[in-house]
Amino acid sequence: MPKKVFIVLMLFSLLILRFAFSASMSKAAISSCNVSVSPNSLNINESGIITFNVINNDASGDPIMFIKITSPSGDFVITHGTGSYEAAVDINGVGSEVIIRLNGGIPQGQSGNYSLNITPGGNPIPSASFGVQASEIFEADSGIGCSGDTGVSIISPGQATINISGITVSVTDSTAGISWSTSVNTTGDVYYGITNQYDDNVASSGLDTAHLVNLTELSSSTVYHFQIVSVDENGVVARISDSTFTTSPAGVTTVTTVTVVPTTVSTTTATVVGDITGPVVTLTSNLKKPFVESPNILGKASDSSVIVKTEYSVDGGKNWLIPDGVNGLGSKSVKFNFNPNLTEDNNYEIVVRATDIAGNIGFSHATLIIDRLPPLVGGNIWSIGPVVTNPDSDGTIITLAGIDNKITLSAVGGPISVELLLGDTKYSMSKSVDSGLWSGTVNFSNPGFNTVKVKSIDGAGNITDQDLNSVMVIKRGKVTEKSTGGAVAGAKVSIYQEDPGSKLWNLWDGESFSQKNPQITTEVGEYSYFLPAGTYYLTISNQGYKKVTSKIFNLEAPTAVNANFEMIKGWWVNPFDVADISVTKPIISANEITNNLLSGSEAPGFSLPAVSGGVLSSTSFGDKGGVIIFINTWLPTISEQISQITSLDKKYKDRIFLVFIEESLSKISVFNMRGGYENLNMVADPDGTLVIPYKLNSLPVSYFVNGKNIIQKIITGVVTGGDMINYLDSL
Amino acid sequence: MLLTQFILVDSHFILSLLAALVFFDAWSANRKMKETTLFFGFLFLAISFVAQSVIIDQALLNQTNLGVDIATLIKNISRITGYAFLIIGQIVVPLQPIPTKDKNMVGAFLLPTSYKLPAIFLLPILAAVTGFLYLRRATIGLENHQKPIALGFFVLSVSELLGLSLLFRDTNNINLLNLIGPFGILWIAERVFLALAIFIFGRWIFGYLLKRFDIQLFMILTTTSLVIFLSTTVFFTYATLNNLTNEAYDSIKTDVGVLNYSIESKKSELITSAELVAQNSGIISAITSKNKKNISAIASPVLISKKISSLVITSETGAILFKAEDPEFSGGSLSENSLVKKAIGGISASGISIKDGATAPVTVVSAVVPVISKSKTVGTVLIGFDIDNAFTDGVKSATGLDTSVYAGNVRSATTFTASDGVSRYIGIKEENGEIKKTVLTDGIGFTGGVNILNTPYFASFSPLKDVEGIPVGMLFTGRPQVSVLQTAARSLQLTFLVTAILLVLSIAPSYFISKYISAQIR
Repeated sequence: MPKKVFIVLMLFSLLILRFAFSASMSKAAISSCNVSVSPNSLNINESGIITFNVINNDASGDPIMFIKITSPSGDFVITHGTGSYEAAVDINGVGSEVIIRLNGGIPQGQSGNYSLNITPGGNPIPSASFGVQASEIFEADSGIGCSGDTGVSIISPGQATINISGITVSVTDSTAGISWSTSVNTTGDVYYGITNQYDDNVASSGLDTAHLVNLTELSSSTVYHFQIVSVDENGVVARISDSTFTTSPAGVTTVTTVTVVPTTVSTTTATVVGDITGPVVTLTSNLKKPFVESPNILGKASDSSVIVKTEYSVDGGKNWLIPDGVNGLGSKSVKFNFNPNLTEDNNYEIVVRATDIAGNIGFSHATLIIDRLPPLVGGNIWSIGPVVTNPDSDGTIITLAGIDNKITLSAVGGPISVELLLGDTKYSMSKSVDSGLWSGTVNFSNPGFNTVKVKSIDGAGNITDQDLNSVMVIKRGKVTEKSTGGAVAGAKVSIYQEDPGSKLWNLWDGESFSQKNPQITTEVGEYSYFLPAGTYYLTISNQGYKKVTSKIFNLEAPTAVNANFEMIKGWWVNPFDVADISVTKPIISANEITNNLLSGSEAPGFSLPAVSGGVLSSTSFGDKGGVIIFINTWLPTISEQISQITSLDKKYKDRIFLVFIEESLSKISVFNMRGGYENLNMVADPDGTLVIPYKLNSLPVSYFVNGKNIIQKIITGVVTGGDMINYLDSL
Repeated sequence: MLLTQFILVDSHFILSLLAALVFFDAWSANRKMKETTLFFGFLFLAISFVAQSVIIDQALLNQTNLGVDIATLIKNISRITGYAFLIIGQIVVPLQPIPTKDKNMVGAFLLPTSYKLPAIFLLPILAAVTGFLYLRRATIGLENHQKPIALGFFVLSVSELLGLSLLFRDTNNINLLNLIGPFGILWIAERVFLALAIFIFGRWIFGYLLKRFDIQLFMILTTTSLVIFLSTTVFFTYATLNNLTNEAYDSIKTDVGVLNYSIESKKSELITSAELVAQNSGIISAITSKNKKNISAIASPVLISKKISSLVITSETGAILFKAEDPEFSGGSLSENSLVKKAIGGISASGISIKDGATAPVTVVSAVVPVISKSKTVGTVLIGFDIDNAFTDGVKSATGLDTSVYAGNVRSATTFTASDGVSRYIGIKEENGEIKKTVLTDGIGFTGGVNILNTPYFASFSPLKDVEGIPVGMLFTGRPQVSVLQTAARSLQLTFLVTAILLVLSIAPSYFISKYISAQIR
């Protein structure tokens, strides 16, 4: 019996051991992976990115969770790594090894790209292989080696060679077509003549590996000498030895093709001793006057060495383009021409650069002015920090003295300068390259009613002055001493906000809203805040005075806080004594309202292209009247306004025109289709023709027009669906 | 903050149950049915404190809780009833030396019809009246030993009076609010006075315990049960809070991983869309011939159907041939754009980039694919997708995550709304030096407690990298720290309720055991 028990126990133990180790035993290692690298070379002393494409060929279906890449020698220093599924990247201290741990991993049968920034050494190195290991274990230190060519060489650009092959010449009695191939992308020039002094040349444009150059107006039955010159983008020049072909006898127009095998193909290194100056580049076209359309620009470049590359830029040298036509690449004198195909009004910084074989670069700069329209500012939005300050329904912006107000606006007509004018004070605006919008900051020092004007100047010297917005600047809050009425300077004003979740009170984070909190009152005892919606209270403390605490107040929209407070000397504070605080909006008198001046007058006429085809005009509403909403695709509120409209019945939608100011019809069409707004009436006013007639400034703005084409109501800001129905029904 | 609130919540529970125990002991000492009013008076007070123990401040729960409302109803009704029985008892039981008092005051007492506002006003008055009647019995009558009861009820009435502060929480006086708010000075003072009352009643009860063995035994058993239950509860609630905090960190780490995954998925999706264009049979000839119309016919439908923000086709040198989002645009080059350069080199790539927006920078997921003809790059397809609020809303609707996306350290999209529940503060800067260094400089994730707009959050940030692997933005997921306490509070409430029920259930066995043991000894 004890023996049986022992056997049972042994079997049971074995069973336990089997299951205890089964988890680790069932996990098979990655059985196979492949890797390839691109590119296969780096230039000496020039950091570059090598991308490793790792393919998971594991038979068991495990994902690759770990990749280790080891550099072949100290000549390849890894400085950075990133790639697919990346969870963590660790590079060792000397940059010889990188471990990439993956999140989720490379699934079986799929691949991941891993880009390593590598700094090569200063000497050319023949191809050397990187080691690549992969494992299915996230925490692994090593894995199986991946197969594939991981060789990367370090080369000197001048030491690269270009192979020229497959040279054929197809001749008639007056023409010759010379074709050849190169091992890398190169230019293709043919120098030819009846002697080996070559008195003429023909160049192909752009870089390619297949080349064809046609020589024309040749003499019949004549032996021509020619030389092919191909130059790659690194300035390496390949040149065949002098070769010849013979044109067909007069009257023979059939093409005869012969293969030419040159004696030698020489490759010239990039370094030219003694040449340290770049080519002289000259734009021969006169670009001083403005153009309505993009002109064809001509120019030339010359150098003591051969010129291997010409490029031009329309953005001051940030990005480069190849000229439409280039003659003479590979020689010391090059002619080029290009049409930059620019359509928008603007001042374009044209830069042309030419590179000689020694790597020296010469530049030529010019300004191309495209001027089709005078400058014109369109719609705008105002913001204080991250809070957009929507104007009143009559279009008046309400702000505080002493606070930075950011204004963002669109403009057409290619202005090179947009200035905001507040009395005699000018505020410059700058243009965003990404969005094309202009932005600037205005700070009102004095309370009162202001009209902000804007002055825009284009490259042709056209100047447009416009009224931008009516602004009610309310005075700053003041802290005074109760007994004397004098200002309390240096008092600390703090705003506290209730956290809606915890109901705890925290010091309001003014910095995130581009404001200071706490504030120290000025010499005249002033302070001010522009607070977003929320629940707040305020405290004021100063040495020798009783601390002032305001009542708790709630703001339902961003509001200026400028209440006045009185302080009393002493120290004892009655905790039940809290100060009243008023945060009401100022009343704007009728003569200060400028935005509604058109109300009651006839709607300015227009006829603009609609996204749906045809045109829409101010009289398209018919007897019922409708609403014209001026808007822009870049406005933060556009989604909100359109969602309000899309929820309406068709009978109302048909009476709504959305006019996009200073945006092209094609752009609006794309916006329309992408948003699925096919059932809305969208109209483009690319030139901003309605900006002045409709006195447009803050957008969106809605003009409700009755059946007699009379403007009944103007609302600035987003109009809700319910209000839209009410206003339309009342027309 | 969390630990302090946890301690205060637990102290409330412990004190309430101790009070219940004291009154239960008092009931035990007076459970002869002939002393009916005392019997019911102390029993109801014990019940009321059991009910009070499971009440967690609703400010902590951040919402009205039916359980709390019911417990408050039970507490108020049983408390008032308890006081009423004691008062009646004091009135109807004649004083020993001078049994000549008027007994007609009973009819003047009315139970409140609403359990909340009128009831809570009655509590300190009833406690004080009870105390006064006991004092009367002790001073005018001969029962001097009942003085501690009177004192206990007077102290309890102060505690009940402080509890009235609850009614003033809607005040617009912040000083007052700081005094009477949840876990404020008055809240704590109310518990301190309750503790003092418990001490006084405890001493009084202890006198009885010394006199009767069976009661003594019964009390020992119930007190032991209470101590065990309270210790278990405190430990459990602490563990709950700790676990919830750890879970919050784990959860947001996972959440930011999910958000990262959604960005990675978007990259893959964009590469697929770009390949759709690049592998179109007509695109090579359209690019090489620079035929804008044909390029548009291929590219524009992809832009529209895939709801992509931008789709640019360039030549093999980076010259812009067509912008699908702005078809009339012409001219220009992207030759130095790092993504386009990769595609010109024949490599598909994706990454994050930042561009200017109207009011704040925009984070863009971009992907590029080369257009290959005969093993040679003839052009590129560059696609961009703006990560805006619509995208983060989409992630939220799919995963339930509240997230923010930062362009650099500036918030560019978010699901978090401001106090008004509508506004989203795009453009807010994250100025925390540790986060900026860890995420934007070192390019690694950060998880920890941070203040966002001065509100404490459990937060997790993850870097967004451009095609070169350089951090250009951040992903954020987080939860307000108070939300963990609110989650814990609901759990604590349930724990307290179960504990209170178990405690009540343990009374019967304790009673019979003590009865049995004392009988055995006798």
